[in-house]
Amino acid sequence: MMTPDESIAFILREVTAAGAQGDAIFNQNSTLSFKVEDGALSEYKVASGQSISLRVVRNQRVGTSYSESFESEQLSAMVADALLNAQFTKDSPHETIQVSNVRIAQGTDVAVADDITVETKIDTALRLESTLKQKAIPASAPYNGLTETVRTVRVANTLGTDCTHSDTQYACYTSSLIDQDGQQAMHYSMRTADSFSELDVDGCLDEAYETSLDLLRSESLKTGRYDAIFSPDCLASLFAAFGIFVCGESAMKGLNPLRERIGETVGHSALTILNVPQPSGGMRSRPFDDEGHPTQTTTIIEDGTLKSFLHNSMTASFFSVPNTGNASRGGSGLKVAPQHLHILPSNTVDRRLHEGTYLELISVDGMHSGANAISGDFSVGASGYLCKDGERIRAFRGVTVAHNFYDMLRLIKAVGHEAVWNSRRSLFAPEIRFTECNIAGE
Amino acid sequence: MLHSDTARAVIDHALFLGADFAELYVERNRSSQIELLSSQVDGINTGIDFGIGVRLFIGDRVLYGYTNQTEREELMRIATVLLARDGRDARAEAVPFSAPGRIDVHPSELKLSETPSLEDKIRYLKIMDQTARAQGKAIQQFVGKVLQREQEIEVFNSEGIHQQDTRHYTRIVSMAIAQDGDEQATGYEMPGALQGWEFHRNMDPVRLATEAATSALRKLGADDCPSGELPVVLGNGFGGVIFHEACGHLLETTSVQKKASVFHDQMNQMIATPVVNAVDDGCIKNEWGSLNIDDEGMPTERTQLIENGRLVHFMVDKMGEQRTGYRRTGSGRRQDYRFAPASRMRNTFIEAGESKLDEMIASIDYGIYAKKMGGGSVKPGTGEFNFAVREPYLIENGKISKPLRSATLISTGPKVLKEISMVGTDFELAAGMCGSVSGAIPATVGQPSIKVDRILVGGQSE
Repeated sequence: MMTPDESIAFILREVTAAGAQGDAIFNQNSTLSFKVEDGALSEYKVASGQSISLRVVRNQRVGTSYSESFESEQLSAMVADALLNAQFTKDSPHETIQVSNVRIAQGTDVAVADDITVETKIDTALRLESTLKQKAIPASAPYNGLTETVRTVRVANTLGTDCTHSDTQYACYTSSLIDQDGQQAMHYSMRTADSFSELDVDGCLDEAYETSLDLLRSESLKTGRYDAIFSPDCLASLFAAFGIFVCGESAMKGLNPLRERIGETVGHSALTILNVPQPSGGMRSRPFDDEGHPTQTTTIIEDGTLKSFLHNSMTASFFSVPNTGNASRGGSGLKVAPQHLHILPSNTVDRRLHEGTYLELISVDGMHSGANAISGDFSVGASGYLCKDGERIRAFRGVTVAHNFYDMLRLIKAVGHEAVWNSRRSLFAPEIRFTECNIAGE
Repeated sequence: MLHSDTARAVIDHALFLGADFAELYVERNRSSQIELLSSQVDGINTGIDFGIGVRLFIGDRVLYGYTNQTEREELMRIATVLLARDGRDARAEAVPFSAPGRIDVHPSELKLSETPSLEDKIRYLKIMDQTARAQGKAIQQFVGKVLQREQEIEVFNSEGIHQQDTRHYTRIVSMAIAQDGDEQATGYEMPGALQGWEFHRNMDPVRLATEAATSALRKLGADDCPSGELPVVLGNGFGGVIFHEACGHLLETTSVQKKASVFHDQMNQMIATPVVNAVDDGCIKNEWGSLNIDDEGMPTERTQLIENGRLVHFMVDKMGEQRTGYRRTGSGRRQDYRFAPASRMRNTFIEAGESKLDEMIASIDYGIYAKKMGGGSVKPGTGEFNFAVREPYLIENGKISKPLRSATLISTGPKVLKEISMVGTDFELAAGMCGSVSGAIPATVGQPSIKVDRILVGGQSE
């Protein structure tokens, strides 16, 4: 079996020998994870994996292939498959290997082995269950876990680009399930950090327990139109479901509803959205994208006006605009993806944010199936709090919330003046009060 | 894929270090995806996944690791690391491997490793593209895909199991996008089977494209769906996602064993109305969710879950049997070698009843006919579930009156099972992907049309 260095050099040599250009992404992950049940570890996982993904361009045609086997025979077969695939694809004059001689040896999040013992990590995992069981009204934690992942990404191409980055991520999650008097309520909570000591385990536990307790005492809501503030995780879920609206690739393919709207007003004047590749507090930050192009901050919407989509080299060429360093490839073809979305907070306190009656949504269920990214329509299950003048009046659950995402960008009453991360640290945003959310309940 | 001597050495090593049970799951997965967009082949991607999962039991605890390497030393290192905290004297004795078994009741003809069939697949996709666009000028875009996968697995364990299997999966995606001014709507079909590319012979590309395109066109200009608790007729086939989410996940020992299912203590009790009979069947020939053996090496079976409304069985994997005492049902499944197996659904459905679809519609003054469903999700601990209706129609005075925009239905499993009042005769199965603790796996849902007397409909209008 070849080493990663040998493998990358081998396949780029074979691509060049075939008269093609190409780039390769090498991914390596090591994971340590624990799950807990009845006061003891129920699952202890130690894993390591690696893969290499190849894109070739020959005669203006593109083919891709990947392999988790690093035997020379398998790597040769991977190159042959990619070249064969390229024979059958359309002419792609805009998709070329463009990133030349970029060399970045390490990112800002250098993966450093911590000095925390495995026993300490296991004790922390055990706490994800035991703390909930010791509460005055005890809760079980049927789904919980603690994970440590060390990841290395390397991007190299036939034009001399060779970039490597490693990082470490810790995550903990728990679900607090309370079963009392024939009623059940459950809430799931998660936290992530790039060092073990920064992992907010107590915050994870408190959120899960307090919310499940509130939901146990919850009622439904009257059907009607409400203003709503989505929690950071709900807002992230919403923006992830409609993520195509920021992507040049979906615009190029005619799938982005905003594709003809650059320079036009698409949102409320208080709405400014940026893509930020390496923010303080973000996870999985990297100084280069999946083509090896340096990443950069890009303004997508400014004061409600659509300024730019995010681009890789292909979509930038198609639209004759600069590459924003948002290439994403995984194991397949070239795509576009945001790194971290930032919604800018308001400079001033807007009293309308918490004025009168509104909903605070803390959980939305079914966004993966109940959202149509092209039409913008969504309808999902929801739970949260009925609020008045900044105070939570009572919890509710068993309702649905429906709206149109692209309408919501306009239907904003107020934007908060302080931004926070969602639990996965992919979205940094203030509270946003959306109007005309259709709630189905009683 | 892995020499049995290597497997033997690793399993012996794990037992020597104190494991009660040791298993190796070896997988090579060959995949291919062809995508047609804007009437052109937009991309072809192929790949090979390969890895080995090592699963060990210490009592009721699962230790799991995986690697891409086949060397004996690497596999033994993983076992050593996993057992480092639990070192103890050997407790179990390994049973010699049986002769490698291979059951094949789901034959495949056009295998991905032997016949990539690229030209044939592209031709098929282009027929769909032309057909969809011919349905109306409003069809602005068509996306067609052929996804094919050939999964070779080999299972060794300390109880003497040595099983091999090769699974051939094919799925076809037909998605049409209609546009009228600023309004866009989509329609799609995504059939699949545990079969090679010959699957397409039973899948008329003209029909698949026509159905996707007409579904998209119908939604253009459709009214908002009403909101509130309403009677709903759920269409056959993918309508079965209601049972999958409302009940199926709650009958997996994965949630039962940790009492995270509202049905964990309901065995032999009436959990549904007497018209409901439900089954999880892994044996249906070439069906998307079928298997020869599960991912623990056990031959699969047909499992009756609910009989005339009464809960009669759970879906049980090896650890589920150990923890709950219920008999194993060949339901141990996982996405790939990265996941430890868990009890999961295969082809899960409500059996046919005696009512006609027309009778169900005629019995409703004001409600919804959910002809086509999308996906959903459930919280097993509370039974709260949701799923999407991608093609709803309004029922007024016993008749279907007009198409509506999509909506979501929510309820809880125990509640909705007791609201099913009519079960139809028009039984059908439909392919889907199911995500849970052991990853995303092919799973079939199914049912005849059924009538639910009251369920919360989350539409766009009040």
